[in-house]
Amino acid sequence: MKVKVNGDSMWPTLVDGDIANFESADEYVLDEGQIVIAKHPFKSELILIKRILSINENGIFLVGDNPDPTASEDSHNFGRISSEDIVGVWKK
Amino acid sequence: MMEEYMVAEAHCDGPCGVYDPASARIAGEAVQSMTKKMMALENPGTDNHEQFIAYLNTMSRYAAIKEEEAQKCKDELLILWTDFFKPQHLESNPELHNTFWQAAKLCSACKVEVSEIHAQELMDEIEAIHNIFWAAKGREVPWIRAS
Repeated sequence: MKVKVNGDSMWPTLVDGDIANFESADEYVLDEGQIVIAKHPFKSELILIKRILSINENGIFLVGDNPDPTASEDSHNFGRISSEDIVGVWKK
Repeated sequence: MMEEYMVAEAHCDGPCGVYDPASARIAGEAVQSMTKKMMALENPGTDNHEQFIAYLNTMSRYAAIKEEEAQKCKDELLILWTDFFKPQHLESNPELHNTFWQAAKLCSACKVEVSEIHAQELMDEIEAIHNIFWAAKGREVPWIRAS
């Protein structure tokens, strides 16, 4: 699936307006370092694009690539998410 | 035919803050300025009571400002350290924690002491933090001083 990036939280890897190819998460074993699209845990209508920082028994910790902390709302804000909320994995 | 995309949000709507090591730099400069003024203030002796009282008053004010600004400097540094910097910054700046730790310790030293050496070392650490901070944001911001 093609995904349009809206915002700069994944800068410099993906920038605002980029079109990125994702594949269904069902076809992947999720791993740290992967860039994924996921459902926002508190705003179901939102799809987020983030990188998996870590995975443990409590869920998946997502972060933005942008080092500016104001540029990314991620698991630092909303905590770990369930693997069921991961929709797709970036295919470079 | 237009291609359709799913839109994924890479936005910020979390609790945003404005971060800039300039806040720490200004407080650090005040500490250094007060330190220099304390070292330079001449003791008039006790023969002239009014002059001596004025001296004590001025010295006390310098010390109070130094104390206050050193704490302010430490607070600003700790906000940068704990709120701005993320684990991935350690990869490109392995000395990050040590730099902040040293800077915070120097704030304490400058409160307790009247040391021009430690005041300058504090400014050196703040300059190092300035450089790390702006490099992390991908911007070239020259180090400047107000004094």
